[in-house]
Amino acid sequence: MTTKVSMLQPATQTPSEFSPVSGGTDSTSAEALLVIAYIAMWLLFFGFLVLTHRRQRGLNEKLDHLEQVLKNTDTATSTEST
Amino acid sequence: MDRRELPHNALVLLTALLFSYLIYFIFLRVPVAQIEAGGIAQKIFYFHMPSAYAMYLSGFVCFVASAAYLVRPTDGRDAWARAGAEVAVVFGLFLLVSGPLWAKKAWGVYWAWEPRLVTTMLSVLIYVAIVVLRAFAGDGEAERKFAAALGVLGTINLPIIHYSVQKWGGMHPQVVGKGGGGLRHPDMRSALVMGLLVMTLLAALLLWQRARLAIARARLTRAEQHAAGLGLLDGA
Repeated sequence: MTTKVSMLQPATQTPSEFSPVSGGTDSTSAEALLVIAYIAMWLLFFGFLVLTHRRQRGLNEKLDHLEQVLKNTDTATSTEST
Repeated sequence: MDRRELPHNALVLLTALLFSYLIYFIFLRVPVAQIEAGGIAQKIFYFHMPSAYAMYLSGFVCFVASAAYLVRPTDGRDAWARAGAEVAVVFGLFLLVSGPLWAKKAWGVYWAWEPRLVTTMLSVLIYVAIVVLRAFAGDGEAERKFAAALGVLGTINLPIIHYSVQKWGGMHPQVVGKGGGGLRHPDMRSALVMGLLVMTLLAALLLWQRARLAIARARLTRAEQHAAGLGLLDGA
């Protein structure tokens, strides 16, 4: 139990600033985490954009078709009444 | 091309260009931060923090549109409220994915039950609740009003997220603003400013697209009701 609690503590003191250092690019796991974060970002944002665009196109097609049908019906009804 | 689509397409193009340039800038120009901040994984920050800001922005849109809907219900107000909640979920999810990935390197753990993380997760869950409610509980007046009330009440948590670090402390760093040491390199500051700009544009684009989609959905529902009234949908 004591071990688990100690694992949840921060590895180092929490920084209050970011400052540049040299030679900080040699950590493979940090690079992997960075790449995963960027892949997640692309998938989420652009996936959502593409999905919205496709759904909009489908809705517009349905709407155009339905409005055309309604327009034709209205025209036929007004012709019949005259 | 439809001329009415021109502003939308211009926004898509501008967002894509700035987004691409920001990625180039972050990877090739911005220096790596000290190892205590996560080393190279700290570069997640330039999208992570602006995503939080974009979530606030979308939440604010949801709040304003929801409040306006409760005062006087219209399809447009409902569409913007729904769009605000949906976009807040997307930015919130990215926040909850990118944060732990960075934390693994900076803190040594993916997740800690500390004030800012918990309040952020709570906000995202509130917006998820609105989205799920609108997707599965129908599109009646009662459901719309209930979602709008949730959109207004859910926004109360956003300032709590913002001030949680100052109020209750925790592991989450306060780098920018009161008490923070700031970004110690001009390129780091430029990347953050650009990140905020890109996320604002992306939020505006997503909000616009989702609101347009919701308005089209409402129009389709009305057209279907009209067609059903005329007996045109009997064979469908």
